Amino acid sequence: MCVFDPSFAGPLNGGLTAAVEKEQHWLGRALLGIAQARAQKEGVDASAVVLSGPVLETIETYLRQVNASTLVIGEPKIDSALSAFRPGRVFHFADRVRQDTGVDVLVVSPEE
Amino acid sequence: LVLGWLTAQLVARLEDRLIVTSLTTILAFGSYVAAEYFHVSGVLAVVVAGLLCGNVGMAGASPSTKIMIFNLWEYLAFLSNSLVFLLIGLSVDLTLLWENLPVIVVAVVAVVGSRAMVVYGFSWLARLWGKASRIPSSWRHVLFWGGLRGAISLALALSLPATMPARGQLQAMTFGVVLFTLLAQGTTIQLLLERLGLTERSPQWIAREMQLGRLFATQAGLRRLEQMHREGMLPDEMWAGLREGYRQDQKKVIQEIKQLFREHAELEGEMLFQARREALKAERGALWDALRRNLLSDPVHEELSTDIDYRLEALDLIYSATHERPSVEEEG
Repeated sequence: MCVFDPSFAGPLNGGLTAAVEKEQHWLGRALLGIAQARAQKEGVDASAVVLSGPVLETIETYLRQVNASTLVIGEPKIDSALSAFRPGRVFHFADRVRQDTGVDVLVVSPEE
Repeated sequence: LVLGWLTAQLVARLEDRLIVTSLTTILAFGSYVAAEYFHVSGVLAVVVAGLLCGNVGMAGASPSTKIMIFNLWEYLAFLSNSLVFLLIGLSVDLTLLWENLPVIVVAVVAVVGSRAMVVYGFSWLARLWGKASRIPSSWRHVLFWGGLRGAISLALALSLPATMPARGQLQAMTFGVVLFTLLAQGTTIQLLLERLGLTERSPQWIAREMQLGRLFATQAGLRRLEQMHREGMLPDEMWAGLREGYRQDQKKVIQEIKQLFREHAELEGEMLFQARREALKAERGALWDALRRNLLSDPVHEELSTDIDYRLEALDLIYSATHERPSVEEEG
C-alpha cells in the first residue's frame, strides 16, 4: 500500500496541483510495481493499492474497509520531510493505528 | 515598479508563450528607458521590474511559458555577462586601479563586512523566528563568501554620468571590488565547500556511479563487437567467445548494482526519480518530433507538452520534499 498526501506542497495553481497528484500516483504505482515484482520472484502473490489523503486517516479507513487483521510497516532507513514514517516516530504511528482500529501492527526493520 | 506590476498582470493572464516572452523583453528595455527619462537609475529599474515580473507574474504562468522565458533570459544573461566582462577588460586602466588602491581596499572591506552583517545578522534573526527557519552554520559561511559582484555593479558604475564628480574613482572602486570577488572569492569558494563537507558524496553514491559507468562501458563494447561481427570483421567463433565474456561482465555489474540498491534504499529512490525525469523529457521530445512531422496540430501539441511540463515541475517538487530534512540541525 502506498499512501500520499498531496497537500505537502502547500497551495499551488490548479494545473500544478493536479500534476502533483497525478505524479504521486504514478510514482506510487511504480514503487509498488517494483515491490510486487520482487515479491513474485520470492513466490509471493501481492496486490497493490495507491491511496491519497492524510496518511493516518487514510490508512485507518482502508484497514476498516478491507477488514484487515494485520498491518505491516517497513521501518524507514531514510529520514525525509515527506515521509510520515520517520525513523523515530514510526512506532508511535503504529501505536496510534493499533489503538484507533484494533488492527495488529508490525514494524519490520529492513535488516530483519 | 508600475511597469513591472503591469507586465506581471499580463504575464499571469496571457497564455501565448511568444507574446509573454516578447513582453518580458519589452519590459526590460521599456523600464530602462522610462527610468532614464525620469533621471533615476535604469539598471535598478530593470532589476525591480524583473523581480516583480518574475515573482508575481511567473507564479501564474504555465510551465511551458516559464521554460521558454527562463531559457531565453538564461542565454541573454550569459551573453550580457560575457560582454560586460569584455568591457571590463577594455575599460580597466591598471594605473587608475593602482592609484586608487587605498580606496579600493576600503570598498572591499566595506562590501565584505556588510555582506557578513547581512548574512549572519539575518540568520540570527531567522533563528529567533523558529526552528524551521534555522540556517546551518556551514550554509551561512557559503552565503557570506559566495557574494560575488559582477554585471549589475559594473553596469551601474559604467552608467554614471560623465559629469559626475569622482566618477573615475567610483568606477575604480567598483572594478576593484568586482576583481576581488572574482579572483579571491570566486577561486576559493570550491575549497570552502569542500572544507565544510558540502560537496562530499557518500561512498555508496560513488559506488553506484562506478557500477553505472562500468555498465555503460560494457554495453558500448558489446555494441561495437556486434557491429564488427555484422560487418564481417569478426569471425563467428571469436564473436561468440567475446560476447560471452561481455555478457558475464554485464551480469556481474547488474548483480552488484542490485546488491547496492538492496543495501542503500535511497539510491533506488534516486534512480527512480532520475529515470522518471528522463522518461518525461523523452515524451516531450517525441511530441516535438510529432509536431514537426505534422502528426500533431499546434493546439494538441501545446496541451500535451504543457501537461508534461507540469508533470516535470511536480516531480521536482516531490523530489525536493523527499530530500528535505524534517528539521535543520544546528551544526554548532
